[in-house]
Amino acid sequence: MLAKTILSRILHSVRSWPAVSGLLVLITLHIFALIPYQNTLRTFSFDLYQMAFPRERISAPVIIVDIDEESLRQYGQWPWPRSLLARLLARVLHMDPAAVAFDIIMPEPDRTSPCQITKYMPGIDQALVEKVCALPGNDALLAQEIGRGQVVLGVAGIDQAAQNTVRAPPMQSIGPDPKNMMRHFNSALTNVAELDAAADGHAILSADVERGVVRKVPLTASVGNAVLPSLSLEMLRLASGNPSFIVKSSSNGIESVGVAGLSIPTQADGSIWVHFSPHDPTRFISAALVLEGKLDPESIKRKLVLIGFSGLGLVDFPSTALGERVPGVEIHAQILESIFDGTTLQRPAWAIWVEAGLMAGLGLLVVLVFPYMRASLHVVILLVTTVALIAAGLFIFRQYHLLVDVASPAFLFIVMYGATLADSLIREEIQLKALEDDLRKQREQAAKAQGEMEAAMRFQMGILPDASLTFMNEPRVDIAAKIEPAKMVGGDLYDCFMLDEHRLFFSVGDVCGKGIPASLFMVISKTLCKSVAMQDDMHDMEIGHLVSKANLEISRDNSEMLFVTAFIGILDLRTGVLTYCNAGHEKPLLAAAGCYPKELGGLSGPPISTWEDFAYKTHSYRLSSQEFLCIFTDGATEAFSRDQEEFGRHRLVDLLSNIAADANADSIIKNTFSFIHNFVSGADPSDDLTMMVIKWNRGTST
Amino acid sequence: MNITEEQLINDITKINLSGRMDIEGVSHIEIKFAEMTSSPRVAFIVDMSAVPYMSSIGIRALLINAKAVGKRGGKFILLNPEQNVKNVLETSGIDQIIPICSDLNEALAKVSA
Repeated sequence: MLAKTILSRILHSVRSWPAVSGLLVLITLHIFALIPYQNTLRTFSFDLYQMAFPRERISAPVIIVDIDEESLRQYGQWPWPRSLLARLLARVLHMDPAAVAFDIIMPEPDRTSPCQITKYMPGIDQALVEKVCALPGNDALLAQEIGRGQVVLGVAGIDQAAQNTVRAPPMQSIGPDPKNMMRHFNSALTNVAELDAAADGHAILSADVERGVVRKVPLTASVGNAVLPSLSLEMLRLASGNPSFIVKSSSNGIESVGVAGLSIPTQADGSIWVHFSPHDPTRFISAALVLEGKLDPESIKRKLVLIGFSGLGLVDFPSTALGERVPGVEIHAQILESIFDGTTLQRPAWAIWVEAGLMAGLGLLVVLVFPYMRASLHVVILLVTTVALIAAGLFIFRQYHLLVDVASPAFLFIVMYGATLADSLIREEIQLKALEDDLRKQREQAAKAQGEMEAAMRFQMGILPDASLTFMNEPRVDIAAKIEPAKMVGGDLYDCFMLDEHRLFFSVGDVCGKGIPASLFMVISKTLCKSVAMQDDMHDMEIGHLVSKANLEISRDNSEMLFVTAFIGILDLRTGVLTYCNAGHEKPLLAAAGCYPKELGGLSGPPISTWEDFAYKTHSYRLSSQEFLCIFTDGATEAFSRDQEEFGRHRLVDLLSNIAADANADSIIKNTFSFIHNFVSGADPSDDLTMMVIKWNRGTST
Repeated sequence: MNITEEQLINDITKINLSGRMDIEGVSHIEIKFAEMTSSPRVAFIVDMSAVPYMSSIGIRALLINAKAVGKRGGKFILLNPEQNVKNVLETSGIDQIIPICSDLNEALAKVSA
């Protein structure tokens, strides 16, 4: 079930196919060893194995007779006369070693041979020259000693072509011809022919140094047409008394080298990875000590003896995989030790496939499975897997002396995880950016809408007349009006204008609903009301008829079913007679200083635009010159405080019962508004708040 | 707000409203209310006894449905509103276009007429 879901997820996650194909390309490159710097990573990890578990010296089959600083101090500077080397060799051979090898190449004849010296003596007697030259030369002395024992001389492979022949021991080849499989040199730096001829063993000394570190050395290499064993292998051949060395190969390359009774598995090119142990001074015996004859013969008996030097300034010191700088001759010693102890390292042919498999598995895990896991689990898996890989690599190294590269899969795992992490971060960033853009657009739109609303509000407020200003020059009436919209645009309205010389037309209305639709309806209602009122044939019509007519007009196109409650009146400024029509509106209050307010009763009909052919009734009332007619909308009575308490009509009545003797329309409105503001104390106004106050001034009428 | 309907005798539908008829309340019932009154039946009694508050939006909701029924020649009667709701209906003159009854029998007689 789980496997099935994962499989279907895999098939559907088209997004991961590029990553999967990239992974396959990478693994292919890995198999063909084409990934740049992978080798560096790999050898570094192999070095770490060796550092974690360096080889322990079990047996000590090798002794280095070391031409060290002490020897140079006692016997003079290098190069030593070969006669001295002959003495050294003689001393060594006297102690019955298994085999001796020189880690020294002697390509030119010794200049200190007696006959050679005569060349640097101008005017020397010819007879003396002949006598001196009759003495045996230093090279001859050394050759003589070399001939006495089982001695290996080495050559250094060079890549320049040169015309010289290289002596080589016989090779016994098992399987296809290995010559083209191994490390090849075009020619070699060889020893003086006289010495070479005397030596039983011939070997190649060269080891490839990788950035100053020796990790892999060839156990066999070809020079020109000849195949030479390494110094170590040749010593083992001589020590075991074999006439030839063996190279076993298959079509995949060289499998092993050795001599009869000893087979050393190698890499396909005939090299081995050197398993290093730390530098150990007990491997070394000073040449001076040997020359003095003070050495216990047992220390060399049946041992493999390497003659080389460690004197500073004579040799370069390559590094071992353990990071130590040791004289080159010690590396030969270490190779021999590890062959002897059977602890040579091998990188098996299957390693590359195991590594490829691990890379594929871990890569697919990251690409296909991780996206469906929690991120916290990723970290755990990453840590556990990496640690397990390293542990497995170390275990295989320690237990089986096999080099399997776990660094490459682990590195790939971590890098791929990092890449997917970065990928998802980038995606998130893009998403975030898109969201931010959306938000910005929304804000811009909102701001635009806000701007339009404000424009609408300015327009709406603009069509309302300023009552005080309009009637400033009309002493017969004191009138004031004010609207405070609850939302940006409101549904309340008022109007006031002179119908003719003596008659004041006014209206206060409240559209059902708020916001844009209400405000549009308000504009329409106000305009239609006014236009009906201003029609010539309406001038002398009763207010009820006028409202009925306006109602018909307003009802006509009202798909939203909005309606407007309204108090509409006409005040005759000559008489103070008010004719009015109350279309479902709150009853106005009549207030006067020192009096309790009274309601202006009389309902004319339902709100305008509720019933299109309704006939509204007309009512009339005669205003006294002390009375303020206060018309308001339910924004006043239904204002709510922060505690959801309604202002209520009774508070308004109370307020209007206490108006000052010198009050006027404007001051009453200001008082009322500030009183309501205090009451709601900052709560959002629930509805538009509108009030109109009218007082008729009798005194000035004539 | 909540709205339910029940069938009375003679194909009369009684609609029971409950809750405050303000902007929020009405928004919960207006679609259902319109569906009920758009049925082919022509006689509706709307029980207002469980409505404690009526705003202009509530009036609008009643008007819309009353008009829709009226256009088809049907009858639409409000039954038993609470006093303050009744005040609002009277103040706004709605009682002049939608009959209000305080008694179910009276209402039944009116719609059957």
